[in-house]
Amino acid sequence: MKKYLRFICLALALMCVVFCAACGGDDTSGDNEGNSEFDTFYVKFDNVTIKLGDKADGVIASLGEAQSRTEIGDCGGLGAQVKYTYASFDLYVLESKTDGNIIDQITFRDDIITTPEGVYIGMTAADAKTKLGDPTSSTDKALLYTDGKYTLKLTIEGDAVTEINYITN
Amino acid sequence: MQFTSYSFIAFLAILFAAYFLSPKRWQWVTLLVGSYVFYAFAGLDCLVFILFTTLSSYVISRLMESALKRENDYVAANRDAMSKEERKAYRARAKKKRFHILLWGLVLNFGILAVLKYTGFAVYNINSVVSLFGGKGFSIPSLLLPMGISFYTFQTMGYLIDVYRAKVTPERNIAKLALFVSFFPQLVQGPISRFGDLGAQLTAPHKFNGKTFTFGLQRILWGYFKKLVIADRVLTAMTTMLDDPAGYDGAYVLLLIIVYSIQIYADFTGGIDITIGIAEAMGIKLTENFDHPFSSKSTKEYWRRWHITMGSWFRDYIFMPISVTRPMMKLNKAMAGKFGRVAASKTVAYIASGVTWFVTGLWHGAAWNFIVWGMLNCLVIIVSEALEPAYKKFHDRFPKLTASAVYGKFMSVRTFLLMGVIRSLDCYGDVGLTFRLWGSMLTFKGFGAIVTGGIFDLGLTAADWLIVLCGIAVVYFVSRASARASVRERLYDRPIMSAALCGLMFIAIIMLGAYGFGYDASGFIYGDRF
Amino acid sequence: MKKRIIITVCAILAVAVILGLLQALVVPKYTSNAEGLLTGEYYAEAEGHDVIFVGDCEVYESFIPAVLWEKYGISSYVRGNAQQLTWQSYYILEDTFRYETPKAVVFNVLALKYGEPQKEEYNRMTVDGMKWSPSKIGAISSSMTEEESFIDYVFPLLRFHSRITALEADDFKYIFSSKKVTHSGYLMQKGIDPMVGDAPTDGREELDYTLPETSMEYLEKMRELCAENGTELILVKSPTNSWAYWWHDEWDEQVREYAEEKGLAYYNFIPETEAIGIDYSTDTYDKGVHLNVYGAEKMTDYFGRILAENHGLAELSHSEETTSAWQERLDAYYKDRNS
Repeated sequence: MKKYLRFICLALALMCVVFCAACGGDDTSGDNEGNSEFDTFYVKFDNVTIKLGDKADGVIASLGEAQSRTEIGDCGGLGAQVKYTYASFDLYVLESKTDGNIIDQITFRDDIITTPEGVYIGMTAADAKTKLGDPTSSTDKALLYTDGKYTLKLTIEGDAVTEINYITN
Repeated sequence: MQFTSYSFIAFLAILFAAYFLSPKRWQWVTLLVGSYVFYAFAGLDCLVFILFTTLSSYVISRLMESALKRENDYVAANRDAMSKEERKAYRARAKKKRFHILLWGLVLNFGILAVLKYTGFAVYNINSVVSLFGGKGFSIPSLLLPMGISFYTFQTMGYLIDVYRAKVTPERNIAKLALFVSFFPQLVQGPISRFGDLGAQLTAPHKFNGKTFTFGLQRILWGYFKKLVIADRVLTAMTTMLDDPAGYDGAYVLLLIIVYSIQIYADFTGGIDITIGIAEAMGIKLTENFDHPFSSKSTKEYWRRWHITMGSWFRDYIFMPISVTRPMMKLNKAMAGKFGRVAASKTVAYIASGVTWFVTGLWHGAAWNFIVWGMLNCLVIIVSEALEPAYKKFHDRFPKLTASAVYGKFMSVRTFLLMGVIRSLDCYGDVGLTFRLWGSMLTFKGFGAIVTGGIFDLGLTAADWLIVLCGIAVVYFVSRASARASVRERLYDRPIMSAALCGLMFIAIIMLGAYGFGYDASGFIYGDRF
Repeated sequence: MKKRIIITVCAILAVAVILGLLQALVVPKYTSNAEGLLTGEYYAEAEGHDVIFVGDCEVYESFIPAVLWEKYGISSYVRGNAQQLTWQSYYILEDTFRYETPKAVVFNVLALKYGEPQKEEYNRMTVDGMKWSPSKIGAISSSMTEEESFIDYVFPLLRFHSRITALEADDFKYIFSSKKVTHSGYLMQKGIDPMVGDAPTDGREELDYTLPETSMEYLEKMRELCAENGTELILVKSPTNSWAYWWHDEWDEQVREYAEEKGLAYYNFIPETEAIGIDYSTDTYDKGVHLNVYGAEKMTDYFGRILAENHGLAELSHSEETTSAWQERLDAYYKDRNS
């Protein structure tokens, strides 16, 4: 009986260990995931952090007066899309009655502004890859770094980065 | 599948129909299948853990049963050949063996709970220590926490301990034991039932009884009223204040304490009402978990009235065993000789209380704020007990005053606020921050802003606050009425009034409940954490 | 026992009636935002149309059935809604075929860019007005965002109950009826808010320039549905092109290829803006995003000629009843336009 008991208990203990070992959640903190974890969906300009998904009002105020501001109302009067043009980039903001004003897209306009990793318009695609790592997906014309909700899109022509956009998917 | 989801309502309707349409002897199987379907909605991987707890408890309980049977058979067979002392010695040895079996069960199951729930906390603390010495620390693992694991583990371990103590006969049908472990309404947030109370009820046949069924539905309705009309509506104000605790200091802390007390009461008691109502509709009587806690005049009384099944579990399975451990007995004896019996037994009780409250805090959450919460509760209870003679003197000196209703209300309000202050550790999360905010509360900063309209800047309009206040008033009056006698029983003899009130309650839930699209449907506080 | 059952049944009926009344009270009346009333207005005129327009805001702001009737004798109706998704257009079309079989269906292609439901509010505006049918069930099922529940569409009270604390006078005024807001589906906008500066030359950068599979699948289903009913499907892109709703060349190319492959007519009116006569200093009410009534009249005239000349819709004969009904609609249109 003693042997029997020990056997069962050991078996249960083993199961216990196995279950616990197997029950890992969605932990993605390991370092081996590489660039699928790309999550720097922001730009720093004049010491102002402009991040996709953030509330826009404070950022707009910090950036100072824009060169131009154009607003297009949504059908049905639900909100608006607003484009702020600054010297080096365009900033698109979604204005919603329910969610407030949210930063939706950042489009680079010149090579003065860079991504936090140092990627800029005119850089070679190879150099951009070195700085950003392997893209989540790519085509002949674009490198995409995404976390599912936001994407950094580098448009490539020849071997050069011709456009840089941070886009809300 | 949350209690407040449409899918749960549909599930419940189907289950009730299936339960009462099943042949009587198979009703419990329907309930078991329903419970597992409910549990499977939380994630198929969670099923593995509840199955493990069921299987291990079954094996352990059966092993303890057979060990006890062998022990009894041996003693019976050798009654004449053994002296009383030999029998006693044999029984002690046999009991020790049974205890070892029990220990396996406890270690395995609490082990799983500990690994899943407390590994992150342990690593966090290790990292804090390591960082003091300039170390890098370990990455904090993200482990799955199966729904209701704290509740079903505690309930099942209570069963094992009861089998060990020979208080209950172990269940021989593993499927029936599985039903006791997984009975779906109480998986979310309790109550923690005892096998002796629930086991036989779950598997007994239940004929449809119009009165019981109606009472069950009324209780469910009442639970939804509290949860949706009060708890979930007031949640927005809480979230607003908790999103920026530093910005809502001073008088806002007191406001949060009051709002949170209302919210957790409506949420938790509402959830338990739904749970008890579901069981009641099927003819199963679950243990009550609350008994007008906010009318308590002392902390000790509060804990006898709030989350009763948890309190009694900790008392029976932690506090009592610790009090009679060998070191405690030795301490008792040693102190009794030097300081007297009363002081000795009080010291033992305080130490056991300390351990029990530490574990209670840890059970509520794997974080320091919960541990501090538990220890503060313990401290308040011990200080209250220590001051008991002074209170008595005061009561004797002013008998008229202390017997008056006003004094009684004062005591209740004092206990309500004291418990509320300690409970705020729960929502602020950070211990240091909570202490700082308690300090700021004394300045009453922001009181003017609150009364001049600040209360309407917390995400709730005047209409929302009015709904909450009306809801609280309804709960208060029903609670007062039910303290005298069952409201449902009294209404049962007045069917028109009963139907009208139920109809009104249903309309109130539909129209004034904070649910559906646009609301951040919240789970139950206890369910989310456990 | 019998008495209890009777009381219970009566109570349930009373609660159902009260909740029904409360539902009528709290559902949005769309008095300040007429876009939520468009779908429902169709059923009062649901027969005998030669042409049905389906699509998003660009159809109900670009094509005027009254003008089409006046100038070309074509009886038409616009079944468009704010951001009406392609699959919603399909189910609305399927719903239309339950009442009538038009000679042609005109689909505005802009909404093909959306591969997923966008906003619950738009879903509501489009779907709530539909009469219950398998088409409505299909429209709801395919349109719901993750947070939505089907039951909220069956019992809108569950969705809109919170409006009980925000009721306005119009909620009582229109509790059992609604305002008529369109002229056969055309939502008249008389304001003028001219486009500022030069016309935009490009829109926002898109993540992917391939039109979503779901949209194309439903476009194909629309084509099949029309083919089954002997109706010609015509694809159009209205002439407006703002940076926020830009019609990219890549999309145009894909639609053109699809149309060619399936033998459908596809008219992209963006390059035809001048030929149509649209002047964005007078013909738009929102800086060039949509046409106002003056721009829409020009657009309708231009497209009416195409329908008559290229699609066999010239000199159609109609019953006296239809003709007099259209005369009434025409009068109502001009009364509104000139008021």
